[in-house]
Amino acid sequence: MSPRRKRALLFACLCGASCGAAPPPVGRTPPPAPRTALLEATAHDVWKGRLAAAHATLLVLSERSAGASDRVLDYWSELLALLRCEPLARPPAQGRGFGEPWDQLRRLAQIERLRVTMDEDAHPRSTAGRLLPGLPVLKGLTWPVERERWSDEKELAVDVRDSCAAIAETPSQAGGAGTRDRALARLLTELRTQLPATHPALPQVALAETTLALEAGSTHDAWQLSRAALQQAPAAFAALPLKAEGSEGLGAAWVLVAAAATDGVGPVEAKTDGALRTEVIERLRAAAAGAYSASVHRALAWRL
Amino acid sequence: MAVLGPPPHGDDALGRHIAFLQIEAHARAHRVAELFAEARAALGPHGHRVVEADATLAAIADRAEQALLGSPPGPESLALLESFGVPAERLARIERFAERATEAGAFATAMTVFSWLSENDPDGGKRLQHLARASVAAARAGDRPAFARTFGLLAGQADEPEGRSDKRAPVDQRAAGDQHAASDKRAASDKRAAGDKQDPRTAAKIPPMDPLDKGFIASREGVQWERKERRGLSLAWQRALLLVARDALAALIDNDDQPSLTVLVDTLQAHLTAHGRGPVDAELTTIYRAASAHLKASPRGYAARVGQPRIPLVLGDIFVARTYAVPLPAAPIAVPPPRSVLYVPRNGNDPGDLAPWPWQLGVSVAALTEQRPTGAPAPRSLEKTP
Repeated sequence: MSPRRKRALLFACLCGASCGAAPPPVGRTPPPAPRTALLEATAHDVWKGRLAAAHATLLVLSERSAGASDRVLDYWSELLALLRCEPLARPPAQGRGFGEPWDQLRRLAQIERLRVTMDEDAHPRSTAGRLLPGLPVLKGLTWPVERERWSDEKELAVDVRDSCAAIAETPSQAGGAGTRDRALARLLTELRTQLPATHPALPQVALAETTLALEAGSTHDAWQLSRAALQQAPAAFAALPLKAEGSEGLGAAWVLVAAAATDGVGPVEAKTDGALRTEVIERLRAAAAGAYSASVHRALAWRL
Repeated sequence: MAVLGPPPHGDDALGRHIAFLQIEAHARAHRVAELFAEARAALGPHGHRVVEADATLAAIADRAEQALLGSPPGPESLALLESFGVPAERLARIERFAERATEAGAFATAMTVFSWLSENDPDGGKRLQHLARASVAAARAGDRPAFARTFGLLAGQADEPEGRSDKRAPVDQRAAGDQHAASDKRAASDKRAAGDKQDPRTAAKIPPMDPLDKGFIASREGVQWERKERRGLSLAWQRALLLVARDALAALIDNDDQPSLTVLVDTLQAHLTAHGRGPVDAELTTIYRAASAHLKASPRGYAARVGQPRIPLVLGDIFVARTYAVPLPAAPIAVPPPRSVLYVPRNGNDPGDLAPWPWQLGVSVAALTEQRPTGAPAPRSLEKTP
């Protein structure tokens, strides 16, 4: 049996295992699983935490779309890399537009990957890791996702590693805004400006963006960013839940961030611009009405 | 105001600044009681050094004293002053307040407080100073009876080394009738002889100088010490007299307070005539002549002015309003960063059907599923699929 046929069989078996189908009868080449079914299986495995199975399914898909641009595959691959805490080589470059929903989702995954796997100076927090559990069967037959595969290419054993444990053991550096945070701020702003007003991730992106500016001490930037986000999707922010199950909701976090961002308004501006002053007072009042800790409430009341 | 609420606001930079803002608001709205409550809560636990080292606390103290100056002076004011800091510094605080009252031109208050201090300060030397300041404040306040009384008291006390003053007789009689006070005096006298400073407790009960009090056993050293002490106190009294004459003169001339000027001139005249060889008599004479020149209907005034084209100018003081340089405290609002911005499609083919990623990122999802001990509940998010 040729190696190619052997591989096809193995993929078919994997696909069957993943999709819950019966193994194909010996001697017959099973019909290839439709792409939509494979993507369904990937999503299902990801949500169930079965990363090895999802990875195997993606390998099948990558086999099919070798050499062609595939946004969906790119997204799921990026997500799996994030869930395995695979470090980025460098912060993602500026994008050429995020009109496509899959590109937007991929950018979200990249942002999280940057945040999780890189230290303050944008170096990988750890390159160590262990083989992804449940994947040893593919050793010797796997290729890195998204690499070209030629018929004469030699098959390589690729370690699909889970680096999360190693990263968790690396103490994260707390400090001022470094290269990573600057890259994060850039990616967040770039994405936020291109997300549609109805995108569910928009408030969280705006929240992360404003928080990052506040952490960096750029209160004026935080004020500008929060205003831009509110102007972009006022309804989305108004509809945010103030309470989540067992904790504060996203709305409460946003109200607090919006209040903190009022530090970016200069005293002269606040005195001369009546509308600005009203906006600041409204934001602070909204936050002061929330059930925050006593210290936060005191800081808010002082600003009011 | 309502948002910040009543005191206490916390004894840190932010809490003090909130108290300062509240006090400013109360001052603008003339809510004096609330202002005092804020000041009491903010200043009560601190000593003078801490207050002076902290710009906000210093401004609070200043504001509170300013408000107190606007209130009628009385025992309540003095009791309030005690609550504006640690009780051990009560007298020093009251003295600073009296100085502040003088600076602020609240001379009636200054006179009341200095008079109180002159009766209650356990330090005899300081009592004399307080009396002198009370006299100056009375002159500036235009309180003629008080000025005549205090200045006369000072001038009379200067004669103490040569004999008892009639004005002090009641006090001494009381002291003589009190056996406890007498024993305290002896104890204080012994202490002084041993080179110690005056015991504030005992000194409070003893009149500033009692030339008859020599103790039970007379000795050569005791007598020498008494003489030295008398000379020192006499000098102090003369200096106090000079201070009052100098500081009161400008106010009396400015107010054209002829009766008080007459008291001043007459008292100085009596003093200089009777003594005329003290260490500050030259300065006292200068002041005496300047004061005489401003007496309008008096032979003494005529004698001082005659033949001169104009009467001598006496310079006064000007008061400059205070400004507060209260630094803004750093009171950042602790904003937790969002847990994650990650949204994942529920369906592998539909990027519009999104759900927020429920698991913590940076933690091995695969490890969570594998390493879950038998019988232990699975992480909630692992068990449910959106």
